[in-house]
Amino acid sequence: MKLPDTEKQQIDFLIERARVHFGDRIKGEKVYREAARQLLKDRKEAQGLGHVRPGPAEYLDLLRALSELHPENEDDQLHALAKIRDFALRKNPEEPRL
Amino acid sequence: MKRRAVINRSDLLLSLADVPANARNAVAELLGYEAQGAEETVRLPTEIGPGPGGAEEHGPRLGGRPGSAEPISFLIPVRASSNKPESAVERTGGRWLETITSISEDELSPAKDKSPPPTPALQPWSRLWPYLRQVLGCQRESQRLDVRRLIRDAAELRPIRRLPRLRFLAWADRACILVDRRDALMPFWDDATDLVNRIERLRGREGLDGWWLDEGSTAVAARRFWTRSLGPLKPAAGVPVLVLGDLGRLSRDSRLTRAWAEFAGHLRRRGHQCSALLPCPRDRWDSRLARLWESACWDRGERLPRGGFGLRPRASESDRQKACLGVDQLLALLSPGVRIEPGLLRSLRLLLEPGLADVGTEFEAWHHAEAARTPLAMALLPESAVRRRAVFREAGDERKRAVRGRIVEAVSRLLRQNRPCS
Repeated sequence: MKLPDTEKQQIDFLIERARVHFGDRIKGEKVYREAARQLLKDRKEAQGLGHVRPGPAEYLDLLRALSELHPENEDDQLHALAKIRDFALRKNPEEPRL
Repeated sequence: MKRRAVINRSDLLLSLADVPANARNAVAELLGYEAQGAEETVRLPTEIGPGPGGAEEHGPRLGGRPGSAEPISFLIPVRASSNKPESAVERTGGRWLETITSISEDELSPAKDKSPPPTPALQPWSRLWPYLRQVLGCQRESQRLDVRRLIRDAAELRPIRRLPRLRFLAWADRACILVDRRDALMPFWDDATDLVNRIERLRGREGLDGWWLDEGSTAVAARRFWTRSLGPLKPAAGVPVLVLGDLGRLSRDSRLTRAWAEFAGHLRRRGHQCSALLPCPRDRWDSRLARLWESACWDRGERLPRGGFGLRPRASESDRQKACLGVDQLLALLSPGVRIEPGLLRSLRLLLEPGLADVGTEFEAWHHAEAARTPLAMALLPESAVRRRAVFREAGDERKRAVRGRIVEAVSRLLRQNRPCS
């Protein structure tokens, strides 16, 4: 499976396939789009850092976690996504700064 | 086979579900994430203005938590200060230290084969030795007939049983010199030692007794000048005795003064001729002591008595302000020095006017409260040195500039003489 070239097309591509999997468990368009934006952000950063880029499988994992944590509740799902929105990939994930 | 991405945001979502806000960053780091743009979101409270709706549109956030707009207090350094006491150099401005050329190792290490410059004498030897021959001498008969006396005796029909001879002054067969070696007189130790050695060279050591009085008194045991051995101080009867010391007058020690007076009385009863050469200004003398010890002042410009008689004390002018001024000026001249030996002290004192600085000024400067002393040298205390250096640097009148120029010239000459590579 190959993602399209532009970001908008990529988002639409991901949403289209996700709807097939989750149906009514995730109803809000905003949830799909926000999750897709975060995935594409990770994808860009992973490429720059030399990691394997996350793709549609990871997008579906994210939506699955949302649906399990907050089933059929769009506000809670958006709030959960907002909590992780400002996190970005670390350059050296093997060495946690604890 | 396609590799699975290590990074998965779903894990982050599940992990942070039940994690308190203050631990989110730590958990996220374990999963390979970090709070993004923390620096950008944190701003000073003064820079955060209210948003359009009355709330802060871009308020500071902790841990990247969206929607949290609580104001955060920051500590901003606005002033730096120290509780350490400010040093004297900092108070007076130590910039001049940065501008001067530092002293090299060569300059700090004088040549071993070169001795320090000699200490200027209190009085020239050419004036001293006639006086010394008087006080340590006696009248002797020569071989030449005293014709005038012979004619006079014959004219008066006196019986001539023995031909009269001409008499002349000569060194006595025996003489005794007592040197006050107490610590307070350390600036004059070299003068006394040099004087005794010169007398020895002039008249010979035979019959010459030299004694050091370490405590400044004859009440305790004395040491022989040349052997340094302890022994009882008992001059033979009739021997002239010369004291090189202040008789306790510079330090105004009444105990010493009384002891010297008693000792003079004891000697006079035994027929001794008692003389004293005092490195002490005459206005500090004690009139009773000056009668008991035929005294002379050992300082520049002072007249040495003739005929074996002593001088009387000078009436005290009680010009204490002038005396203090002399000490202050001498300390200002000494202030550039880090180690002041008696020779330097004497040299600089002699640069001042005789009426302003005498041998007593030298003593007062050495024992000044703003100075520290060792048996070899003295130094001004740091704070005093800094303060008096400022006085030394002041332009002053023409006389002061001339004195300062002579000091610089003398020090430069010493450096040239003692530099090992010169």
